[in-house]
Amino acid sequence: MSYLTDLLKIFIASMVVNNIILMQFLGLCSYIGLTDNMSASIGMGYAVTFVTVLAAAVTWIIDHWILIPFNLQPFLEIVSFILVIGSLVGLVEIYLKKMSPNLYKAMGIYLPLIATNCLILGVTFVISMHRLDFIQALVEAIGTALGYFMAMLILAGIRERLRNSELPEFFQGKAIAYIVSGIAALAFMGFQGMIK
Amino acid sequence: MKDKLKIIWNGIVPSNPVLILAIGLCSVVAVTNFVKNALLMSFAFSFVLILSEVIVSSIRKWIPDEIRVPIFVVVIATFTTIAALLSHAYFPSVYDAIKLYILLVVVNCIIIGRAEAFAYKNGVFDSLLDGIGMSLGYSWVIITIAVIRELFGNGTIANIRVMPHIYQPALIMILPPAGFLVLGVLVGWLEWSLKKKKEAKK
Amino acid sequence: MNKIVKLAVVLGVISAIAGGILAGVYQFTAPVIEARNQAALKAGLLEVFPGNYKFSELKIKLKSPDPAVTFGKIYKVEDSSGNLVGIILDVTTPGDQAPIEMLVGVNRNGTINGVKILKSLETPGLGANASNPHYYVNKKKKITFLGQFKGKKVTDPFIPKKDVIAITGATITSTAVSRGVKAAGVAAYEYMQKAGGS
Repeated sequence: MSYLTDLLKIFIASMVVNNIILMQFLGLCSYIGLTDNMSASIGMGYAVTFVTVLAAAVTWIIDHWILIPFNLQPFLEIVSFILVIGSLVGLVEIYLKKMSPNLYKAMGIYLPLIATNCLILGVTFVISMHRLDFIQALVEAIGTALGYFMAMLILAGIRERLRNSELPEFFQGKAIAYIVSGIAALAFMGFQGMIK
Repeated sequence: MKDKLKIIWNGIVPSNPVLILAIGLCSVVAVTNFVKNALLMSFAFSFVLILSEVIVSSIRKWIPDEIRVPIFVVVIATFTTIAALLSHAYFPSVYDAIKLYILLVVVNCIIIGRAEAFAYKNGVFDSLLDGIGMSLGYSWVIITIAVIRELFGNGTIANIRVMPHIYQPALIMILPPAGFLVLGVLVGWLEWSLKKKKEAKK
Repeated sequence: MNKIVKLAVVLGVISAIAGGILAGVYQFTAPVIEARNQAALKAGLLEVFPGNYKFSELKIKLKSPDPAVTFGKIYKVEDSSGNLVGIILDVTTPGDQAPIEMLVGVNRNGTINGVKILKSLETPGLGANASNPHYYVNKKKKITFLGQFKGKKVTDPFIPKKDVIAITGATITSTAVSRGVKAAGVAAYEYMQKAGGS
């Protein structure tokens, strides 16, 4: 029972309390770059969710079956994680292209963007820093990815409305996206302390 | 000589990686609440960028075109790990605070972008200059933001009290959301003044 | 086919060189990091029990009365003639962002002698004030948040807003630290009473 509560805590903490974009500021390039288009935000959201969970599982196995037993973790973790995630994204891309053209159409063009998205590598580092077990790692990955999805939708929705409103000249363009995110982040600070 | 200086200057203002190209933003928002965090981040970033550019440009003739990106990644990841190990050894308390962002220098779009766009095509010395210019461009922006945030949010600069004790710090400035707010105002001001300049030229 | 082999060899060679360099740097920095940790620990022990005392690690395990709080290493504090003065516990308590690791020194007579935070990732300006030496919960007497624990009895309730002055805007951090100190105090006092004269 308490293990299940732990999982729920990890899920809520990673999705809302420590929202990857609004509280940890990872994955900002795609967040600012893609959210002026709602459908792109949704496609990227799916792609990130899929790859994050996959990457968390694979890097967890590498960490616990290769790096930690041979005491290589302190200095080979970064190199091996980034190579693994890079090749993983490549493989997913090839696989989707062949096996499921529809799915590829929906999120294929976002996959190359993901290989250098700091969010995914960030999640794998957080998992290794907090020494989570395999199930917890998966839950953390799902929670983080959904949190990313949520933040993307929030900003995309707001920017869609902003497009038709009269903004002061000073804030037009990207500036207003930052300001809006800052205010959203302030609201998210209110969630702190939900998880004890 | 003049065009060598131009390579450096290019990174500081005309194609400033943070303000103009708007890439590699994660660390800019996250570590700028205190000057000491921004300083360590600048060190790690410059260390990785300059050395990666130098190594990539010096081995560029032996890099097969098909696997150049994985090789860039290995080079960058190596220097990132060295930067992280050195920071852990010599600045442990600051390192603990911004550890995640130092590790994530490895996927910073600025570094892999410069390796691909500049170091892979230019000589060692030019790449060194480009690395220095880009590092200065990144560092001055994040240190400036950090000075503003720490001054107003804590009344200090690099832990030295500047504001008189009667000043009640605006706490929000060192809380995470202010990173977005300050960056938004800075970017807005920059784009606005660039637009004004263009209009004046017409 | 030949081409792929060549590419694999190039990538393999570069990765191997990188791995070798990293192993070398790690060999160089690992002792520095270890030495720093040792120095920080020693300074921490002295801060929790200032004075001319001898510290040695106690090879015992104490059970925490609070399920959220865990204990790490335990140190014995003796004066110059070898009498037990108190013990220091390495305590981990769940903070706002990440676990807070701290040293809690407990006197033999059942009072807290000092608290020192070793590692925490609390929000700057709020929870991080717990370890800020210039943040006073009692401005007149210049008592810091951690300073207020000195001299408290382990039988006290240790509840913020009751007998502990909380940090403004950081109730979670204040509660977490108080719980950690209380758990350490109770466990340590119990142990010292059992251990008796030794």
